[in-house]
Amino acid sequence: MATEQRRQQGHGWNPVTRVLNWMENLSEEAYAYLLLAPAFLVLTIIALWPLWRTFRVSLFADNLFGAAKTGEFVGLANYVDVLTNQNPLLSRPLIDFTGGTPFFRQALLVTLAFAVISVVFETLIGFGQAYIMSKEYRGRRWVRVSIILPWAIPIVIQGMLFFLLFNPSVGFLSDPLQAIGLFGANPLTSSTNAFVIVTVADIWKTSAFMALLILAGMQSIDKSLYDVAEVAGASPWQRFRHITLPLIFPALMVAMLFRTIDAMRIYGIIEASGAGCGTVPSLSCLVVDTMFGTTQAYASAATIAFITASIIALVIGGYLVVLKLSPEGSYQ
Amino acid sequence: MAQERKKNQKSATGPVSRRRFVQVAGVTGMASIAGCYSASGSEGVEILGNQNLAQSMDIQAFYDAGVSEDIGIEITAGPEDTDARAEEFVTLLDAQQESPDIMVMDNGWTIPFIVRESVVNLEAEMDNGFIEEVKSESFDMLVETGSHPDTGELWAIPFFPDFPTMQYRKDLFRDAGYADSEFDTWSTDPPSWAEWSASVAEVHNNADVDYGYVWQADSYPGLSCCTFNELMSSYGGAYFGGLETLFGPVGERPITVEEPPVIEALNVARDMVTGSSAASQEIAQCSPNVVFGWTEQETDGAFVGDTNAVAMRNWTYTIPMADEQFTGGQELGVMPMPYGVPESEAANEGLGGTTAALGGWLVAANPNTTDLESTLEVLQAFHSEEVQAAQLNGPGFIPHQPDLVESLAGDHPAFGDYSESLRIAGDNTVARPVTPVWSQQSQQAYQEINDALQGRKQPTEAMGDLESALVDLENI
Repeated sequence: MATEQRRQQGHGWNPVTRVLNWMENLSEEAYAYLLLAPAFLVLTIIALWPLWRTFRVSLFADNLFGAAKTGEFVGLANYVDVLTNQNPLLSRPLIDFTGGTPFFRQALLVTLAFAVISVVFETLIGFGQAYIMSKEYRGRRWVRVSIILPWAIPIVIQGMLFFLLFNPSVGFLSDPLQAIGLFGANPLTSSTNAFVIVTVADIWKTSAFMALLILAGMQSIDKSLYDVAEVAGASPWQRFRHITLPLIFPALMVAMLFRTIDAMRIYGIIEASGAGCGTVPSLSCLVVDTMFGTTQAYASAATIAFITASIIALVIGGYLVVLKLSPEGSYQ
Repeated sequence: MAQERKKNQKSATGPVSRRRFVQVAGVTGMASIAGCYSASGSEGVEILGNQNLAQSMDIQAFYDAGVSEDIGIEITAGPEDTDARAEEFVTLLDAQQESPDIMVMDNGWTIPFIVRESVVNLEAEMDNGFIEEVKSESFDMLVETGSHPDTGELWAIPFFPDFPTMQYRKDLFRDAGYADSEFDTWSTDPPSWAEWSASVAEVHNNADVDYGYVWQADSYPGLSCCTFNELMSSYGGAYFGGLETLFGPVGERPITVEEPPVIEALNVARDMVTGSSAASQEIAQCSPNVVFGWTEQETDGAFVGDTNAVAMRNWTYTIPMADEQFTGGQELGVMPMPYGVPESEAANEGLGGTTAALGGWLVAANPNTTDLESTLEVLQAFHSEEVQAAQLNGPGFIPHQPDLVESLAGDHPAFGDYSESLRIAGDNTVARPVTPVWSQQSQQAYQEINDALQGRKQPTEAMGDLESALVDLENI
């Protein structure tokens, strides 16, 4: 009776207390969602609001000669200009359908070529490395360290290493590669040579990442499956084809997805290796060159940024469709 | 049953009750957010420059020049890289930040800030007599890069100029038979590129160094703004007609990169490296092909650090280090840059002859400052002899008044021997054509120039492509 009275007099009717009481009685699942809600809200604001703002800015003209950041509303004209190579503010064309620009000087082609080549090689090398790391032998610890080491090196140091390898005045690889006709005298200033250097640098560093994810997938496979296959007379290739590959497929797709997203955003190694965005233009390079510095072409930069985000979204969509449609991934 | 319910309730809430958890998390979050806010701005006047300025400048000079002792002055260091500095200023001005009160700006990108009215119009705020004094007493080109291209009003005060000179090893030239009288002549009356390339090639053949003349031809902004700009100017060529139309009006000025002096300059630069004899002048092969990937740092490393080159084109800030390096049996020579054609033969008025690209820095006021009066008082002191002496003796920045270059630099331990050459080089500078679109034009220019130098394109083809890119950018 006394408790009931206290409740009615105030304590029980305090809104904060009522909310806390309501919370105390939530199920475990509902309580978990409640705690995650602020984080979801922040992520939504961080991810979607800038994307919307970027798109909105891309619908206006650049304003290079006044105090305002953008000019009048132009709708999708910026997209038409960028995609038809009619925007003179871009340091290199996004894509040139007329064929007047060399392949390795078109940002979209450079980015796609880099993503495809680096991800394919990183996956193949990562497979080999994961296989080596999964075996039991003496000194395995050191082999694992040496495989993972490149992944631990900061991108600026990695860039410096490759700069020092290929700079003609100090690099020891520049002269022999020129002598056998593979590279020119200044490989870091040639778009084709520098593209190869940047791609090799990325593969060298990031194969370890793929190896770690593939290794995790390999180690989750029940070893008795291999014993059964062996007893049934399956060859090593058959064991790989019918046991290893299907079972690590979901993990492999996720690893490739991460790497592809990362490769599509390539920027740091281009600058850090000394090649520079003028020599190896990627989509991110175009955004940085147009947005920053003193030109500040906000609308053009926003247009390329939104196109880049859309292309990455398409690629992610492609991966998810493959994962969904494949029998190996359907159970996920 | 009751026990079971109690157990479930316990496990649901865990050792810490939900009520307690939310209270603690809420308070911690609020405290963290509160911690993000702190008082911004500082007492007195803050000048944002670089590390060298912050460490070596004697602030007392400002008070000696008449700044009130009540005004505190603090010099802080921003990014060393010029593009990063520009970006920092863009960000802090966009955010309407109150400090720094004074911004040290590269003359290569001050005009875009002026055109966008991001800094204070000094002519509207300061005494007309003082403004006229600054305009008449400072290096002309430095004043122009701190003025509004349409109105001519001064928005930024010159701080210090920088320009390249030709540095060379006198000892190696002596070994090849050159006399001191020739060095004396060159110090005020430099040779032509044809003569200089032949001399360097001759000395290089006779010397135990790997490189002859080293310079900067990487595909980077320094090639379009400076190295090639000055070479082209010394042959009478220009990007946009000549000096009259250097800073605009954008879209209404001629584009002249396909004209013969520009093509000749490209051929001269190629000949120096390849010996291809493409230029109409006879240019000797005197430079290594690594210069096509070199900037200032690499050339300085080869000439000063490794003492492995005969001659180098570099900015005045490298002179003290070179002067210190080449002592004893070795000796540094400095002269204004060689010329392409005499001024009288140049196609465009005011070009030709010895020409040095104008680098340098200006000081501008932040419109969001909380104390504009004190800020302008400190800005005014930058034009005093006291501050210019302190900037020379401290961080080693050349005075922005030609008269003071000789009188102050003449006594300087590092610059003293070269003050006459520096004055002549400073009097013959050419600025880059800075407008709000120069950043993009520069990018197109250095890419095409580097392609032409490396032989990926013929000079006429590269300049044709550059011409169409510049037309598009001028008409944006």
